[in-house]
Amino acid sequence: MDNSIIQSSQIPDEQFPRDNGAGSLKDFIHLLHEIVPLLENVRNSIEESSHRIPKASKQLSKVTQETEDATVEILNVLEAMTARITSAETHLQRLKSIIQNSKDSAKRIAEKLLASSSETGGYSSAELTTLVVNEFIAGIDGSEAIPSIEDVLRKTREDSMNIAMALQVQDIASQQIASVAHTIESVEVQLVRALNRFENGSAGDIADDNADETPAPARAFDVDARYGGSEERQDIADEIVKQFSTNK
Amino acid sequence: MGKFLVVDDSLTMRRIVVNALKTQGIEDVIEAADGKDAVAKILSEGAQFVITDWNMPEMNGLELAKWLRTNPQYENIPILMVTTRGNKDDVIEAMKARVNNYIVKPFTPQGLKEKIDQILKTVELKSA
Repeated sequence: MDNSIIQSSQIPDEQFPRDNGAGSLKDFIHLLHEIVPLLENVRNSIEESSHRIPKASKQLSKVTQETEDATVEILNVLEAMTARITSAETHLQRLKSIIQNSKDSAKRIAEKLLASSSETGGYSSAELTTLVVNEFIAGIDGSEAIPSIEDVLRKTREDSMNIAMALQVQDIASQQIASVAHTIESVEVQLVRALNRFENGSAGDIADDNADETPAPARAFDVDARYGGSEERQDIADEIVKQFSTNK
Repeated sequence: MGKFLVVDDSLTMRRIVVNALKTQGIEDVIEAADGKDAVAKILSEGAQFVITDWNMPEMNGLELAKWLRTNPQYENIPILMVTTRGNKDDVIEAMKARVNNYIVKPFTPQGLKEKIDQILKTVELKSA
């Protein structure tokens, strides 16, 4: 800023006789004297803000990156959990098969014992053996326990899937952050432009105001991206899809 | 059912969609990070079903749909748009670009299954 303007305000009053309009000039110079430091403050604020904005944008990018990293870690754990559930379900099926085979073979043994005993006419020991075998079959019957385990596994699988689906929030939040970051970057462009105007004068700058110098966003985003209320919007989408399908 | 191509610039979303497809027994899935990548994958590896996001760098989902529909080889390939864009005008624009169905994020595995089944049913009816 040109300090000569401030210095000229120090001119003594007697050099500005009131009858020739010099009083107004003096008021004007006094006004300038007050405005210049204010403008200087504004300029400093703009300069400081324009320096802070890239840092803010970087922080937002970092937040996005960190939440994506965390989400990937959660997905890794969920996928490992799902794989273990699948493995447990496979083992359970194998266990069911082993139990069924044991029951079948025990039944066959009982039948053979009974048949062989009837040939010789002695029933008592055969009947006793059959009783023992039947007790054995009842002992290995997992009809109550196995479905319960299957149910637990199924519910755990559903829960892990629901957690995975809820992680869609990361994509939606990152779009919201990208939208905010883009707005901040647009403000930065305007601030830098204002700063240039302060330093270089305003001539010719007004025409530049219409120029689109906003940088391209770091990632593609939907300004209206949101996590809640997708059911209502899905209903609207379904209705439109239906109309298009009917009109084909 | 053929090969599925999942197109999304978000790694998280790609994994979520791929996992949801696996629960439906769909294992033959390839991925692309944007429309341009998707075109390259379709040309090199082929695909019989496309699930695409809308907002992506380079080439967005709408542009990808338009590219597919103007290509005789892929003009009938099923396209399912899965996007955060849920405004009426967006859905109309997508349908005009001849996507087969539309899902607003966040979606559920059941919702995804329903839309895939609907599309496959329509495709079967057309080819029958």
